[in-house]
Amino acid sequence: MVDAFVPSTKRGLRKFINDVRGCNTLQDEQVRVRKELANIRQKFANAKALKAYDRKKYAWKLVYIYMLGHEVEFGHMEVINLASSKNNSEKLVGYVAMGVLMGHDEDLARLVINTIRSDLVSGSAFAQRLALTFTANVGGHELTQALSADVLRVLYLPESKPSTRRKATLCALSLWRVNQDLIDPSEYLSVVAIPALEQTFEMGLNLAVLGTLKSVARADPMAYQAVYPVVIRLLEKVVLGESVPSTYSYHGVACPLVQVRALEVLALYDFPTDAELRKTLVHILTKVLSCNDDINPQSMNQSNANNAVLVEAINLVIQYGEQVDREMMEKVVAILVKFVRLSDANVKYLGLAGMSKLAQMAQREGLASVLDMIRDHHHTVRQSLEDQDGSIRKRALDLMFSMCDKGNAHEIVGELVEYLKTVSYNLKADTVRKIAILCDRFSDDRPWYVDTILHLIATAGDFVPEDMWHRLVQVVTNNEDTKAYAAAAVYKMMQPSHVHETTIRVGSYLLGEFGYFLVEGNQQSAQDLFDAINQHLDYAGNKTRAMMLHAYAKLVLLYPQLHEDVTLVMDAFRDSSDPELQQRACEYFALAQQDRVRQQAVFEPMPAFPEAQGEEAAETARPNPTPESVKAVDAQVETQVEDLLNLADKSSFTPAPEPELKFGKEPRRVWLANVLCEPKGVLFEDHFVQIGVQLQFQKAAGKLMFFVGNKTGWVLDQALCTVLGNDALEVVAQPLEPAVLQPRAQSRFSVAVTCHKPFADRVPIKVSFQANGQFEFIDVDLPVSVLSFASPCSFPDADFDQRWDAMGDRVQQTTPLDHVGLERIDAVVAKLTALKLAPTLSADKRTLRGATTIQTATVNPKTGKPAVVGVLVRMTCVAGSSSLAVRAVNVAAAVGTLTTVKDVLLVL
Amino acid sequence: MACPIANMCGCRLWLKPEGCRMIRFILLQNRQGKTRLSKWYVPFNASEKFKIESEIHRAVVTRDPRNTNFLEYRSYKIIYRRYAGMFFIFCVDMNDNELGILELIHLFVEVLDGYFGNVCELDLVFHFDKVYRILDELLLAGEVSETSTSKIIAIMKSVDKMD
Repeated sequence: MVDAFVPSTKRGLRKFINDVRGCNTLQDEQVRVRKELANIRQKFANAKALKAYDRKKYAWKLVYIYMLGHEVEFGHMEVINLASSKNNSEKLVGYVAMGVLMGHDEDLARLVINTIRSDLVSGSAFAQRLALTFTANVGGHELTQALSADVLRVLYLPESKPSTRRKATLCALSLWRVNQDLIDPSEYLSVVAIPALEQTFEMGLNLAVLGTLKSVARADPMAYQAVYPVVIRLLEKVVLGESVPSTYSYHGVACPLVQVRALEVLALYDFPTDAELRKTLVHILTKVLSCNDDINPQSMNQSNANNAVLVEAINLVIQYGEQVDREMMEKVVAILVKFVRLSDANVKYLGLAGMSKLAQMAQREGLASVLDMIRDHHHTVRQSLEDQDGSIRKRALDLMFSMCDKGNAHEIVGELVEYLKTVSYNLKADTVRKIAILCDRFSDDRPWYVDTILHLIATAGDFVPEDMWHRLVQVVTNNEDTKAYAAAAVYKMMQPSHVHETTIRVGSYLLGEFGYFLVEGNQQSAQDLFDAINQHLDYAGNKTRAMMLHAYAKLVLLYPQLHEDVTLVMDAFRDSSDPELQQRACEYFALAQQDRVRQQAVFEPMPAFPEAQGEEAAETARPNPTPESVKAVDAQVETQVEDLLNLADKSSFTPAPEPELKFGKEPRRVWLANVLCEPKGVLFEDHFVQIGVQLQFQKAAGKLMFFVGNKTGWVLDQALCTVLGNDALEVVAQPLEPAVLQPRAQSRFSVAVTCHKPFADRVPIKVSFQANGQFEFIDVDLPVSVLSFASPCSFPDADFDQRWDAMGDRVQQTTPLDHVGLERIDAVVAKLTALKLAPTLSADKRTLRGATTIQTATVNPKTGKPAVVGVLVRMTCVAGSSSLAVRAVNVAAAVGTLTTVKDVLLVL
Repeated sequence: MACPIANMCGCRLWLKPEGCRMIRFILLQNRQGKTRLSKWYVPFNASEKFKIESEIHRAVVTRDPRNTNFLEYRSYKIIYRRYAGMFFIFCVDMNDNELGILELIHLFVEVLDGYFGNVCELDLVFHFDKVYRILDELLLAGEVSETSTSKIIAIMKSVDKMD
């Protein structure tokens, strides 16, 4: 059947696939694959002798082995050679095989750059398309840096065929995802997008252009707004006219995906103000919204394609909200209602999702009539919560949540609490969270709020996160009238002999804090309160027990009659193996021996919490980098960039200061140590290049300018640098320019860094270049440590010791330094000063104390200012050796500081 | 700048989450969970790929045929279609057009059908190279690139002549 017209010259591959398919067990398959790998390895050892047919065959076999899930560690070079071949058939095999075997590996991608580049500039449309396909699918930093210019050239070339341009625009999009400066909006619009969208015979090109636009224009809608009327005209032709080639008709629907994409692009902009455009758009939308009215779909495919467009049009109408007329909004509601009531699961799902969006919009814009229309179908939504399909249940739950407001909050929360009894496991946490948010949001009736949350804890305790009951405590503490009610409610909840861990926690806290309301109201005795908590002591976890001890300490202060019981418990835990518990027990025990005034000072009732820490405020508090600070540093460095290595005017190289080699130190560690505490210096040097760096830091941001100098007498080309940040240290690197290093010339690249939280690990930089056809790779560390973002602070020694003790030794990091002794203390002081640790020497010159704060760009939600992390350093010296200790509230800050100080002192 | 979705997908590209409405990857699996073909448009490492493949198989194979063809998976959406013993699975972003992708899958199968003539699982096994090439015409960089069945088949045949 197949072979009748599909040419298959790969007989060897066919046989191998048959062999593998014949294997009954995984072991058999492994044996067969290993045998084949050994064979291919042997053949490739002498690849030049192989015939073209064999090279292709073995490449396919490797691809097949890779697809089976086995590791393929060799053969990449042979595959790349196939792609570089002049023969089209070999080139095809090479590119397809590379696309599978190489994945997104940046190191391997680097090796293909030359091949791709020569194919892109070649006149062969076939080779160009293969190169564009590969580049588009792989993307990544390496290809973006090396090939952007070539890809754009093909894209803008007037002679490029539509099929080439179609690939080129998506390839440019792929590279744009890495570097958003790549595409110039006005050039792209005038050369590619507008001419493409004005025609309707090459719809594939239209699809690719719209796909590109929906991403690039989203990043900067204003720059691309000239395309808006063109997209509307295109949509008009497709939706209203008949001018679309039949090959682009899908089951009777004209290019559904073009319609979908066009509507997506329109959604990036507001409802047009221009009367003519507005009229056309309304006309199009009306037509799309009524597409299912008059005809009965011929097939499922036709109806799906129509509905795909319909859903996108509905999204657009919902986005416009009040700006469209009432009639159209009613039509949308009618369609969604029809969707929700249909038996087709997919359509029902989309109906629920659409209605949820509609409800959110109506809530936002206060469209009561729309909300009422949705609420009329409350019953249908409620039923969908029990649908057998989990995807539909999830959508229904979202809709229940979105349609809730003051008027129906009690009803909906009640239904959701009821639903909690039968909800499937994977939706349970979500349901609990939604109930909690709703009753927090509409919590005018506080007893209702308290009851609901306590009910959630009792029935679904495992799904109640910590912050949920913390919020309950907060609300109760802040509202005088709720305290007695909450105490009574939680007392009742504590009665069963076995309750959920979270119940014990919240019970201990609330009874300890507000239990006195019950005693004063003569509802319970002090002994009852104690017993209610203490009956759960045996099975509670240690963290919970710690909270129980705290509650006891509070109670015993008010009710001395409990003294005996409480002392018994405290005494039992004084030798607990859990350090936290032991500490608390000892402290409370000791406090109980003190006078009452002091005890009362310690056990003051909790003050009210600041309101800003509510549920929604907590959810929105996210790290927030401040680009302004980066820019400020940028500007400063730009003005004073200088030719660091003095390569330009001097013919001879100034060699890096030959580091003093002690203790078997590698030179690059010495270079790094120097650069870590100097504003500029040499980071690396070998017989090819010298890499220098100039650093500037301001608060949580920094700017590094790297200079890569070519020491050799020949050209080093394809120079690249890669540096990737992480969530603690954000890194934005500019490409190395120029990428070709002339003899005795230098290139530079800049790197902007922002510290979001303290970190201990260094970030690597990879520099690579080609020398005489050989690739050279250099790995060095980015000379940025947690102390780069430090700002020193100093206080008197006594003050220091107090803070030092307050931190406790749990967050301490220590290390001995064998080569730094008392005799070099002055040099140590100088180094620590350079590290911004503000060292002060004690009177006996044996102890160094330093304090600093690490600046981060993460905004502290409590203060609204960037968070800072304090670090304390203490170094004690004796003759010949010393020891270093660091304390900080954050472990990464402590470890980062310790390793940096250690590294820097290594070169002393 | 780190990609905000990086934490989940290991993707090193800087993409604004609301901006990426793209196909993340494609799996062609049979009922036994054997992945016949996969195409990844964002980087995942090998162990992550393996984990995703088996998680998705378990999630999809147990679903009732009357259920939706959509499944929320991690922070993505899986859209799948079953043809005989084969599952065609596309992983897209949460806010993508579900039915559009569902019919895109069907279009892909129509192209395979038109090219191979009554396509079956064995065609995908023995002619994986052709399937990759068809896929590269249909999709590129996680975006749809060509939807004309006749044009894709014409390109395929013109290239086949070189072989």
